[in-house]
Amino acid sequence: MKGGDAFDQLLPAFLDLPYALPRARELGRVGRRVRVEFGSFREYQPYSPGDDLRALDWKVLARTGERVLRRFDDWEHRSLLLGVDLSASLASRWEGLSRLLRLYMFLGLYGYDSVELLVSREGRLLHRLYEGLGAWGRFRAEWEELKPAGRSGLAPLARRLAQNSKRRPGILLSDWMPEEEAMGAFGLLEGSAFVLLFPRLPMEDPRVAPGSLGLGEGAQLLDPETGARLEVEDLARALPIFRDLQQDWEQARIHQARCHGLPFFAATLPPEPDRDTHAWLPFLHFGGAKA
Amino acid sequence: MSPLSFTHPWFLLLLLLQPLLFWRPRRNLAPLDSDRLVLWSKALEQLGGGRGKARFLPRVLHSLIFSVLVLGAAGPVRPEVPGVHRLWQVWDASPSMALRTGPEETRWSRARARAEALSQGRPQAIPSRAFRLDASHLSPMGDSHSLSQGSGIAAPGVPLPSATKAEQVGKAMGDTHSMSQGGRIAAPGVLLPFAAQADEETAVVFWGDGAGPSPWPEGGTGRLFFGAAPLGEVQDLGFRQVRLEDPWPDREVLLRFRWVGGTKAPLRLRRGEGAWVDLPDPRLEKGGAWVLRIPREQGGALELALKKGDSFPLDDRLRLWLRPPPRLRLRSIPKGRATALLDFLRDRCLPKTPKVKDTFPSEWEVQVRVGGRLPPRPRLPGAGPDPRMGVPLCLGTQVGEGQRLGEAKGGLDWLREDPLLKGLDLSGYVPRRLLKGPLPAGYRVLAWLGKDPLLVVNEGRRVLAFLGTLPREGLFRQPFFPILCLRFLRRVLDDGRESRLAPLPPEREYAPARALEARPIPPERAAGRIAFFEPERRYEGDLALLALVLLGMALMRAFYALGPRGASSRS
Repeated sequence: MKGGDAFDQLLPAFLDLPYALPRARELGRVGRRVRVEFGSFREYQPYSPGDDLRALDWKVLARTGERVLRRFDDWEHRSLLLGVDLSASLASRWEGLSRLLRLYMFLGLYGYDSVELLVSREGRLLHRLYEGLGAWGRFRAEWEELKPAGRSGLAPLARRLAQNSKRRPGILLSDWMPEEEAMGAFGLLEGSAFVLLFPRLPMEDPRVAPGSLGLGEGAQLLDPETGARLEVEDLARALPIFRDLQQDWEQARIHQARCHGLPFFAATLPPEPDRDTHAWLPFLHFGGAKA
Repeated sequence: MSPLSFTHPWFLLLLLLQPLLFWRPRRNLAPLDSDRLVLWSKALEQLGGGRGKARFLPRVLHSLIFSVLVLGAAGPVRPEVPGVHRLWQVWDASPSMALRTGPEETRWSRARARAEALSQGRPQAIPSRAFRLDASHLSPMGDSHSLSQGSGIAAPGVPLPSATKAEQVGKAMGDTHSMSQGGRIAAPGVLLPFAAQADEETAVVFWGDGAGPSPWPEGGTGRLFFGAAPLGEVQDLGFRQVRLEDPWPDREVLLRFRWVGGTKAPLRLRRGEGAWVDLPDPRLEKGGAWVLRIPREQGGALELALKKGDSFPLDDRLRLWLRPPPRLRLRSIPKGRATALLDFLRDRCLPKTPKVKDTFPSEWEVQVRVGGRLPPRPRLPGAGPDPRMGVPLCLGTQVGEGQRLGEAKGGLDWLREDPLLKGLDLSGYVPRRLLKGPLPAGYRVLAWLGKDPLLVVNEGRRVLAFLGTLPREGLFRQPFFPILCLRFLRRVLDDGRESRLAPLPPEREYAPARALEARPIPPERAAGRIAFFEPERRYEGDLALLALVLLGMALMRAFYALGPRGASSRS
């Protein structure tokens, strides 16, 4: 991986992890998927190391000792759909969310034929299609221009995904707030192959020590989406209560999503300077997701 | 009540920092983006510092503490309390104050104990002066109709050294133990000099044994408080007030007596050195009053006293001088001339015109003569004319033998500003005859016609004559003449300089023409309470202020260390 920041340089290391994206067959330590071709025979192609050995024509090899691959006129195109709610309220999670999307995009480009990115931002839906690892540079250039903005991005995004992606695997990231909008999204996406993911901040994780968060005695909370403010003067006492409430909220979302046949995952975003790839494993195991 | 003031009011400018202090915690909060405000709000509500009223309680308490500190530093001054600024204590040093009221107690010691308590209770900034009243400093003083013997003072007693402390007051009182002899100060007008010199902020406390001072004059600027000591069961009439009900009585005089003592002994009354006459009702209630009705003609030197006095008879009797009214007689009245003057004289003074001899008017008598000659004044052996004789009022007559009228020369000129002629118009009057010859001694000319006297008067001590060279015909038809006569007559009747104490011969006893009437009057409420002026007090002082500041800091620290930290929100 040329260029990019330190996280971009860390992305190839994720290929060594036993990750499992939605509906992507696990291929051991190499996650490159196998090209599935079907239809009428088209031609023979010379074998090059690294090609899928299942397309090797064993009969030709036995007869002539030449290694050739059989190609057909059609093949299965597998695509990963990434839906991102980029409303302004996600600004608090933007740093971790940005790295998570880059991770998904990298793994998607590596394990799928293409990755479709559908972003809801400022009331509009942006659709981008990236095919092959060569599209990584374009993704990075276009991704740099995206920042959270606008309000109510979840509802239009869910409607769009429900219309076009009934059977396509995908991941939907959002803060799932407000709850009414989240419940509406659950109903729209019922029966789809989407994995609903909530990127949790370290502050919202009860397992993270408050001392490592670098918080002061108090904080003035601001919701960038609604502009609402809330002053917390005694953060040390209010934080445990908030974490308990956050945990209850997550459990409620999981239960509600399960009622709609949807998997709902909540995982904590690693802090920025973390170079440990294992910290991202909670985001890479969708084995229980609907395939 | 004056408004609250401060010794260092510029400290109040610190109150302008209240908004900054109120918002100071908000500035220290680190900004943090979050999309979980709903959960945070629930967490804060569970914490107890949510959106309720308790959210503002910490800051309100903080503001209150800060305000208290600022007010304390500004030095609030308690408003001034209006009250008495000066205290004058007047002491009755009459012999009756030495009378014992108990085994170890006299009136003087009892009054002294009360005075010391009063002095100790007053603020230190209130100056106090003490005055002593005794007979040696009393001088006769009274009105035109009654006079108490030995009553009244011309000066406010003997000023004692100014005393500002209770010990000094006690010492000053100790110096006044020498009682005077032969006098009493229970008389009208005894406190008038004090009332004249006291201002609004002065309280005059009279310490006596019920020797009633005169009523505090209405409109007097000072305030009088009675501090009389209890009298006990001694026989002390304690006259406090003797005054006439009507200053211009016609037939009889109503004398009102007030006293603070009470006795069952009968009262008796006599005129001059005559025999005593017992009053009908001897029982006198304490603090009561009586009204004595006496015929005016029986006035003179009256003495009212207890029938059985104690060892201090001066407290048990009262001598007063009741002046009989002038008795008017008309010497000669022109026939068929009913004028305003005659109507007045008949209605006011003379129901019947008596026939009088050609003699000089006797005592308490005014003779109005129209025409005729002035009778000769009686003379005392070796002393000249008797000054006690009555008043002849002669109108339009020749003054003396050999006096002739001359011819008029020049115009009319009269003393327009003289009280008798003020406002009158004599210009229309042209006399036919004028007085000629020299004027007798003591006569004064009020009007001149040319070089001749037109109206002359004599305002001597006992002889007041209105002499004029007026024509007999048409005299009462002149509009100014009845007015002139009435003015002159009123001056005669109102002349108070004739009042003086005159001994009467024993044979002229007091003989009431009818039964003396008396009726009780409710006692006079004379007690009062002194509200001293309290100067402003400043809540300043380094130790107090330092303690206040430390207390405020401790409260603030304790509040933020122990109290629940609230939170506030605004959307």
